[in-house]
Amino acid sequence: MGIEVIALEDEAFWKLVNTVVQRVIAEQGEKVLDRWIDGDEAMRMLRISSKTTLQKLRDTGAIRYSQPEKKIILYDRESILAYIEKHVKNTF
Amino acid sequence: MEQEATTVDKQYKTDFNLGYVLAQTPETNEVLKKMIEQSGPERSQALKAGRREFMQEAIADKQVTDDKRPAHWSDGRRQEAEPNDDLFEVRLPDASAQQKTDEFRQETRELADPSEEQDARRIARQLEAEENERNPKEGFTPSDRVGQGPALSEAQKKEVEDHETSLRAKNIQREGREASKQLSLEQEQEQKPRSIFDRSPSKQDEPDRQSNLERIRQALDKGDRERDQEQE
Repeated sequence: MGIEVIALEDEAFWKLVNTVVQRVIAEQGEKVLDRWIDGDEAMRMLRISSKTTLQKLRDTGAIRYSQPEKKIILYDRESILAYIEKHVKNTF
Repeated sequence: MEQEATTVDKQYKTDFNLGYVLAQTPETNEVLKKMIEQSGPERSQALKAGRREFMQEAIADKQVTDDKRPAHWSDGRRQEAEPNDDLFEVRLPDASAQQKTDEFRQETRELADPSEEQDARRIARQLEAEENERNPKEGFTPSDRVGQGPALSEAQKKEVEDHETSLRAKNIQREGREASKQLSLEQEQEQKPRSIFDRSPSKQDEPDRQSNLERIRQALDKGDRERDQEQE
């Protein structure tokens, strides 16, 4: 049984990756690759301007976050939406 | 408390998300592995971080699923299952007895305490046995496995007898071996040299001790007698 080996140059490989990413976005929507957002975007979503408030939400476990490196914190967009949804007051 | 910068490099963020998404299916995970190999240290770090995040979530989700399992699945391994009641179902001729047993089984299932449950099962088995004695069944049923089964052929009977005879012979041999072993142990203990600190009387020393005492007593008597004669 013969094995087909495809050798790609660096540039061609990244072009292929970008094509794959574009296809994933087209199939599953843009937000699929935008789940993890930075602090600025999180603050915009929450309509807050204070970093301390954001930190408080993080420390109390109100919103999910990931800290892959010491100075890099990314927030889970879905958890922010869930937090907002949780505090919704319905009309009566 | 120190406040972190809220802005994260856009490329890092994209790569993190990419790693997170591509780690979700085996096919895309293969692509992700190749990407990590091909890309530079910074990009691969971001991709790995995204993948790690997804892995942690997956593990956490699995743990939650485990916690929702029934009690006998809680340790992650399936414990020995209860025997299927249907397999050991006994066909009772009396409908009321069957109903009684069913009710009893239902009560047994409802009991939370395992010891109580065991007791209840035992009583249910006793009830069934009593019922069977009163109304013996025809043919072979699973409950016959415990007691007498269907009639054996001559060859089978002979085989059973042979087996029993050999078992008996083995038992006798074993008892003999144990008895001889016990005897040799006792003899060894008797012959064992005694420690100088051991003051307990041994069986070998016993006659010597007796004779010594006798001699001392005789000597004392003799001395007393001589003294009396001298006094006289």
